[in-house]
Amino acid sequence: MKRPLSMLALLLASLVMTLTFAASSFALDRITLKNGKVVEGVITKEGDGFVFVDVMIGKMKRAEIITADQVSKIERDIDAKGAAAPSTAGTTATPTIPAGAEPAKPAEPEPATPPTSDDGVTKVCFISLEDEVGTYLNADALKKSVELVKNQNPDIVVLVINSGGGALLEVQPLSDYIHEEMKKHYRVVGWIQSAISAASMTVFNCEEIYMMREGNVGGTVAFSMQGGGAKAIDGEGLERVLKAGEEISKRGKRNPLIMRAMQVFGELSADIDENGKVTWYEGTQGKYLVNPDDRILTLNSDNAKKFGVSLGTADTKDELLRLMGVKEWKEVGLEADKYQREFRENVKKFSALANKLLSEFDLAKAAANSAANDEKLRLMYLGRAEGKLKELQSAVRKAPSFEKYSQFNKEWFEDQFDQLRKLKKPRT
Amino acid sequence: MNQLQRMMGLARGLTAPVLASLIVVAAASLCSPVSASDESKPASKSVAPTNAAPDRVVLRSGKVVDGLILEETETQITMTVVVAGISAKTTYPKSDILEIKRGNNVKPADDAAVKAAETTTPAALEKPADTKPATDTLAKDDDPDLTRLYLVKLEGRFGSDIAKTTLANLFSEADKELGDAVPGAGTMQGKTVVDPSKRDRNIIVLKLDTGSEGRSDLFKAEDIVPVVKEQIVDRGRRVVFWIQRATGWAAVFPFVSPDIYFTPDGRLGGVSDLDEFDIGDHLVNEKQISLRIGHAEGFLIKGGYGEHIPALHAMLRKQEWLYVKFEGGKPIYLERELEESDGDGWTLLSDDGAGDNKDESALSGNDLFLLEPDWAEKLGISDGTAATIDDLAFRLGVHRHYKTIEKNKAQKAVDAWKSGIADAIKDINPQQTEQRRLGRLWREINELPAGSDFDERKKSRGKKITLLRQIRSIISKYAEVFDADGTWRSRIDVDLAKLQQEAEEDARQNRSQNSGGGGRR
Repeated sequence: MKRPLSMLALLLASLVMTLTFAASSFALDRITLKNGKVVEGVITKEGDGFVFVDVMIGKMKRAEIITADQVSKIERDIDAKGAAAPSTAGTTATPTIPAGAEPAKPAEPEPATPPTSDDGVTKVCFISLEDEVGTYLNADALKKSVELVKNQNPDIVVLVINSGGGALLEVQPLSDYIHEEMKKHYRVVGWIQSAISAASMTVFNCEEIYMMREGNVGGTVAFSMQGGGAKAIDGEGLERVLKAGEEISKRGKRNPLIMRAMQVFGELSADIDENGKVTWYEGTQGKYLVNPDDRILTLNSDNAKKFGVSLGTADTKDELLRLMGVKEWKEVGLEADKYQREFRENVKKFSALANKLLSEFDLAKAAANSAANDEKLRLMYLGRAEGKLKELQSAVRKAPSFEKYSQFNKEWFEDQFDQLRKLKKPRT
Repeated sequence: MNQLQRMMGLARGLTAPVLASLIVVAAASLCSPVSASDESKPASKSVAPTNAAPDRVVLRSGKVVDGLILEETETQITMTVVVAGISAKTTYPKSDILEIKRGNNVKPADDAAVKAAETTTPAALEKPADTKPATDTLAKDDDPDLTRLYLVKLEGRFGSDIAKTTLANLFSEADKELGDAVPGAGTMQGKTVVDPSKRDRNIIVLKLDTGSEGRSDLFKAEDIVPVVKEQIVDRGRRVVFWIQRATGWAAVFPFVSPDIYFTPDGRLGGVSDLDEFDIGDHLVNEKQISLRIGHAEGFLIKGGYGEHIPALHAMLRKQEWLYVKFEGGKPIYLERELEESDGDGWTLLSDDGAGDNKDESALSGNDLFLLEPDWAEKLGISDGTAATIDDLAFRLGVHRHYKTIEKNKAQKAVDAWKSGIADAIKDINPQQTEQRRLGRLWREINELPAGSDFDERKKSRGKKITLLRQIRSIISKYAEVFDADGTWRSRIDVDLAKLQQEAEEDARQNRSQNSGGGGRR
């Protein structure tokens, strides 16, 4: 019998799928060498004295290593903005993240100019994103929520995040949807109650982040469960996770060192100048040690605000909109959040029901097998098994994310129905 | 939780082994020395300048600020307040204000509170000899100047004996008994709030003697604390915490209130197992520790105690240093080993617990910081120490005219829940341990005979089904404690389905044998 994908296979597949942020998803980087040669590609890794660049030659991708002494200038995101965006380090001769200097620093986020509708009142839609990333919090459900509110033309969409993390597999779809779709049409704001792990990677796509007083963001170490317990992802997998963190930080115009300190051990410090501008350091050069080398970073609302990760702290919608500089606003698109709540409720219900239905299905099949000498009884049990399978399928339809994140996918159901059909054939 | 979810690790959905140990990381704010912010704690400490008729501002956060209003605009008020003997001008946005009472509106009974707070050290106060508490026979309930101290003792295990439902029941019963709920307006439309004219006079005192055992109890606090927060912030209920014991993750609970007092033997802190967190490799353990610290810090920030986060860190991890000194009456913390350049005046509260600094017991020495009454008060976390409810009334400044309401309906509701939990454990505990026997209903199931013939098997199965349904019913009643995610009930449902099918199969075989002339077996 064909069983559902093994968990290990699923795990590996998801890891690969998740972490391969396609080059096309992100802008090209341009490296001008001292000899005048220009290399365009995607910088995949930067180390102490070198960069790795993926360069496309026709349809083939080739990884090139360029050492610091070859480099004259690095320009990042050259196709995203139509013009090159020189990195802070770009005009120096080193492509690395130099100790004490700013690494490839994106612009610090700041509150956007509040958009207003024709009547002068800003339309704001709040969408709550909660529970496990993947089954309960995913790009498909978010897309449906946003579609529900499209005709009301919100000016601002606030994603209200309360999640302890979940599936890494969902990080890229969420990132792509928020960055490539939502940001095109709306001012997208992340409002954090809790954003741990995969949820922190999700909210970091937002250029504007605010936090509730009890809020926290970080703890982004990716791991898998193995025989000896939980093991942090390492090797190539880790490189990809770190790369994903960097790319998401760029999308959110946030210094990638912050996310990195949430993902792996490493010192992180910062200076804050008289204008409140924060300069980050990979090391202890800064006045403020934000993360020591033996810790993983999780920011609270005070620290997030102090170091500019959050633009402010608000517990109520009124407070939030005031911080955002919106004087007059009205809430629209209540159905968008209603959809999310109903979606989560359905997933929860299904989650409770799934094991029971699966057990009943297995029991009925086993009973049919043991009634091999009584054809009538055997068919009766097979009929019962089919009924349970249909119940299970119906439940899954109400919680579609289960197709993606559990064994109950389309292929599994097809396989089970196929087996039942074969078993039902009269025995000769 | 499936494998994919495990990959990123969930804060809530962790299984028992995953939550095997809680730790704490001073993840972010290790920028030291850390100065206490100006928005330091309880506004209940803020008072009007001496001899001035006080105005009172009740903030949405639950804080009550007494002082002199100097200026008022459409959006804010500016007032002079006295904090720790220092006069300061403070501005509050009107959006943060629930209520403004001017001069004469502050009841005479409150003068005591004002005067008490004017003194920088509450311990320096002397209790007047002629003060007598009002009792049922001394004061009528409808006395407009009478302050009611509605005392509820919360004892037992945090997260089970004290759960979300416990607190919800407590406040619901208190509302009924105090009779001070009125319809709300604005964001509280359709709900009730505490009658603004009675907010200062009906005070709920929660006397805590609780601790947590489980490493996931931090997340239970996240279910429990909002119930109290709603009362204080949204409904305007004054809730005073009086701490005898708040250990383990229960330590974060009192920070929801701006009013914290200790008993003379009170203690807060003692999350002793976070450093032993071990679900896998070092990096994953630190992740789990870090996110827990992030959550715990949130409790302090939300309650207005953010400046004391360094003290929290020292409560949570043995390796955290904690020194303190005071500037302008405010604590300045240092979260690393003292260096010569740091200067004088520092007091060591907790060392790194390593090498020569290692104590036999982390909690009895200074490897982990355990907050006791003297330091709680010095640091400004506690408003004072009170051995009795009369002492507490005095500290609260209501000693002239108050009544203590004990043995109240809320206490009965709290006790009933606790008793229900104890009974439930006796009945449904699924494991035989040294501390706890297997629950009564499980023992009954285990003792059921297998049955040698169809009738006996049928009877035994029927009894087992009944017992399983009883267990399921008890779990459902206390689901927030025993089975928040429904997994246990789901397993019982599967067992019930198996029994049902087993019964059908047995009946079929029995019929078959009977029709074959074999008779019942």
